[in-house]
Amino acid sequence: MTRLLLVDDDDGNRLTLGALLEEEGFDVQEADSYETACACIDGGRYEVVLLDLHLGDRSGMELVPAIRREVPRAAVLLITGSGSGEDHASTVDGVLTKGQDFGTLLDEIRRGLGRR
Amino acid sequence: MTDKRTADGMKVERAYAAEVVASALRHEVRNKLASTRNAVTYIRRKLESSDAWDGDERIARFFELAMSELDAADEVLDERIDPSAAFGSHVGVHELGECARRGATQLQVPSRVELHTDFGEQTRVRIDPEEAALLVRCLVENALEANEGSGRVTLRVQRQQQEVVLEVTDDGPGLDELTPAEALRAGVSTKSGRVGLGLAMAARVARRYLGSVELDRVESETIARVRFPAPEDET
Repeated sequence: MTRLLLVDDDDGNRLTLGALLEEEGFDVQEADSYETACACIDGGRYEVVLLDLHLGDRSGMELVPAIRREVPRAAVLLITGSGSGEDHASTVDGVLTKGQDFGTLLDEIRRGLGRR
Repeated sequence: MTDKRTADGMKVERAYAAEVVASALRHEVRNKLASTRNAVTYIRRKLESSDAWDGDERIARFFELAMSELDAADEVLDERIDPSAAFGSHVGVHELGECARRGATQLQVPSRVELHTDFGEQTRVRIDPEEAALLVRCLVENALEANEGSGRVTLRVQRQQQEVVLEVTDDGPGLDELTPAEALRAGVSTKSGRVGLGLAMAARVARRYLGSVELDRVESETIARVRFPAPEDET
């Protein structure tokens, strides 16, 4: 089973996207804040990290160095509002638009896994 | 008191205020639309294999309708308010010090406040002068509010290596319990009854011209610092 860390401070997004991913066979761990995500990443084992760009007062991008260090084999996919992820595309393994079709999101996750 | 802002200056300010408020709402609404879309997808997947799905054709149709309405709502959110469309663009390479001087002349400075200015040389940046003046007004007005009508505010523009740095310093009480990131967000203010758009608008102007905004507290002074890249032919 593919282990996936879902980092999003919006409760509704985390709940619904987490449920859809579990239905697709992912083992989903949720983090509702930057601090919780740090604790999960430290010593964690994930194949995929879905990272919301906006985490309260922090940016999800601030977590990328720790992810690359602690879970180097994980595919990191950034979830952003429309048009706000292009600046970070070279630093992560994929950029997802918040609210996009779930099938498209799954394809992007699989592409990200293929890149790692 | 007479409003010293130019007609273009007021248009710029209104356009920026509208976009800052819209941006904050946009982010919140987009989150809600995304989770609604996910929930609809999940429920549809569960229902598609049920008898109810085949027994009532409207179920499938209404799911399609829900998704298309969510798409339409997303498209509305994607519409942006372009400040330059409000007043026409005069973007070029300008002396930021001169723009700051102009912005400072448009301020209503209380008589008990000492406003000091220090404009260095070679402070050319790529910017629209009205937007630069708006940035200065927002930062200095924020400092004046922090000082509650007295004290000292300093406006400084200096060239520092490959950057042009604009600083507004005040000796007010600081950000209270706000973090710098919170203080730069629209709708956040340490003063009751204030909408809290000024710093967010200043940050938006800075980002539009590849600048960055920092808030710092050094001893008893709060510093709002904006860094712009110097034009390429001057680096």
